[in-house]
Amino acid sequence: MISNQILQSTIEGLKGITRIDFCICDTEGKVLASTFSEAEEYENSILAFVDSPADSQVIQGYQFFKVFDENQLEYILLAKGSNEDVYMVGKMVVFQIQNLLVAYKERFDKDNFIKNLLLDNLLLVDIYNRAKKLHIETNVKRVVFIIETKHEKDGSALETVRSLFATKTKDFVTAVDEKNIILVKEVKPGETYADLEKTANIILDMLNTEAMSKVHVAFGTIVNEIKEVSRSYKEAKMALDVGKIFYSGKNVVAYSNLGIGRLIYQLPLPLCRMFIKEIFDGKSPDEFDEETLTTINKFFENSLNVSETSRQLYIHRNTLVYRLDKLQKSTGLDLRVFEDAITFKIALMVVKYMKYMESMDY
Amino acid sequence: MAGLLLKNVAKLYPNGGVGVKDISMEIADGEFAVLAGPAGSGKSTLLRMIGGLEDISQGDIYIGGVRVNDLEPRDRGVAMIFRNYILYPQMTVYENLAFGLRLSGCGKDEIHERVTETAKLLEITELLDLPSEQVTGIDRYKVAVGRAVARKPKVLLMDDPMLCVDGELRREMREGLAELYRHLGVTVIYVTEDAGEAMALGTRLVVIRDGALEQTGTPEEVYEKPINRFVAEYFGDPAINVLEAMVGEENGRAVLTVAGSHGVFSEENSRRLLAAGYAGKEITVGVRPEDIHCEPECLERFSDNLIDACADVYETAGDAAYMSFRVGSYTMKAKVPQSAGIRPGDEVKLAVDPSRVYIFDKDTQKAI
Repeated sequence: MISNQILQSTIEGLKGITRIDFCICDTEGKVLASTFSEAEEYENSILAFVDSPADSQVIQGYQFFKVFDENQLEYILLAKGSNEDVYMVGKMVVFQIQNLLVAYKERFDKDNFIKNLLLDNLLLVDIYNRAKKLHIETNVKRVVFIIETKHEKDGSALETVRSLFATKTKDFVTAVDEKNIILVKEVKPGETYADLEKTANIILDMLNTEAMSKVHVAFGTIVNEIKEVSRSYKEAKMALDVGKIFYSGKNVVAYSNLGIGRLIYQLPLPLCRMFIKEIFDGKSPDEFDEETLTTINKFFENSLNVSETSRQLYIHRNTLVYRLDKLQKSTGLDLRVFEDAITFKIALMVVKYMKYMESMDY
Repeated sequence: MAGLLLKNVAKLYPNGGVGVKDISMEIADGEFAVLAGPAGSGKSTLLRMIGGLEDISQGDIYIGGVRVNDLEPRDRGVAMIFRNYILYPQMTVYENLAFGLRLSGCGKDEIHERVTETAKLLEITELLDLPSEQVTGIDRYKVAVGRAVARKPKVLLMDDPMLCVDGELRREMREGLAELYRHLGVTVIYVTEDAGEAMALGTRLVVIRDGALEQTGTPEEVYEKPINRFVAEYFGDPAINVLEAMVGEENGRAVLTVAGSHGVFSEENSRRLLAAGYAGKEITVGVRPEDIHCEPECLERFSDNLIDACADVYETAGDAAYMSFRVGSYTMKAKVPQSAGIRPGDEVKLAVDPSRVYIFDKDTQKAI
């Protein structure tokens, strides 16, 4: 259960303190981690020791120890030397590894619990019972972040996120598929959505910098109880999808900021087609030239303000008015009128959504 | 080290949005290039495209002569620093510096060598064994920069790393970065919205607006010869004064009328205006605050270009003092000496050096 890398770093660290060489093998004599090179030579001795009733034994100048996990023999530890000091240090190392096993098992159980919680695989009563057993608080505020990596099984990204958050015992990092890393984060008192946005940006920037991974980050709303965590997860998932359709330039998307995009995302495609046909009379806004699209976007950005838009576009006010008149002639919508502007804005978003649905490609 | 070449690079989003429009430019080996422009202009998107964090819709990117379009970020020989950086909690400074190297598959000895070398360069050797929580202020920033430097990149990409700090720390960070650049000699691409920071740090400015390249050049070139009104207004604090002027012609020389005052253009501007047929048309003129004078000797020297103005607001900025003047319907800012003794409400004459007047087409806003 514990990775060989962890075992190796543990015995290297212990060797650094005690100056005693160690080796950890499995019950078939295979070396898992070692601080000396000739460890393979002891395979037969290890197999004999496994079969013996002794918990520790001196063989060929090494102290052999059995490491149990809940009465199940898990590892054999070899400590170089046969004196009492080596025996004492060896016992301490066994104790350390056993504690590591307990910690990892607990973490693994927690990981399973969080996965099942996110995927709605638990009965309500089980959620509270298991949370209690795993010492997970049930009544604290939490939020779910999803970090979507470009490549499947991006180990660097997972390790970076774990290093940033998993050391905090109240946050959980897990994965339910191969492209998404999930962070269930406890929300501190007073923490706002602006703070969560900042956290999301930190995740993004750290992953870009350290793991050099292309990622998108989305997060759901803050939930008050553990049973609602899956809702925050579903929201984050939706935010990830909706963000790709309507806010493709953004790498961080919050469910709470999806706005009207969230509604459009749930519209059936035939209804969208009908709406666009009615608004644009069969034409697509794609057919507008770049100049017209830039004008429209700038006009919306500036809250339908003609003076500011013409200033930012470096065109005369009359030129802008001419362009808007031309658009009105071709679509029947006058963007200077709020009702028409909102219809046009929704229509543009519906077209984006239809394109996404038709291509199912980002 | 490596230079950078962009050929017709564009970023088009599937929904029709345009992030970056057909940008071509070359950054020489060892240059400190600053991508400057307002928020949302596409600077960061371009930087991320160079780093491989955004797909390129069109065009080619070369780093050190190698086309990198299809290379993963970690294979491009770049390192990146972004505006949101934190140190890994529960890790020492050494482990923080080593983390990225470990992820990229470096061996233990190599990691040790690079970490100690980087720490020495950034003068944080004594901090290596400290837990990251105990590191504060400029040292935290140094560790964050160190993580990138330890990768030994050919090109260092920085996305406005000082955005979230201000005051003394920002000044320290800026100085430290300039010094680090001198030591490393590596090519740096730096993104900022802060025009002053761009001028202070960059050996080359790349001005971007609405996803398009407006102008590139040394800070002096961009400041002295802006290609359009936008660039002229973007660089300079306080910003350049911009006024509408009517061009006339007297004795074969272009003259101007602005806010009821008359003046002459420099010979060079006059020749350009008349050759392009601007006589009798309106143009936009720009005058930087430091090119407007109220000293008696200047009033005499530029007696053909005097403006009637009424002093308005006086503000000091360090050793300089700026005064706002009402000139017709315009408000102009001028750098005035403390000794000028002008008080708000005073009616004064201001002189403009004609050779320091920028002229722009009124419709296109391009420099004439």
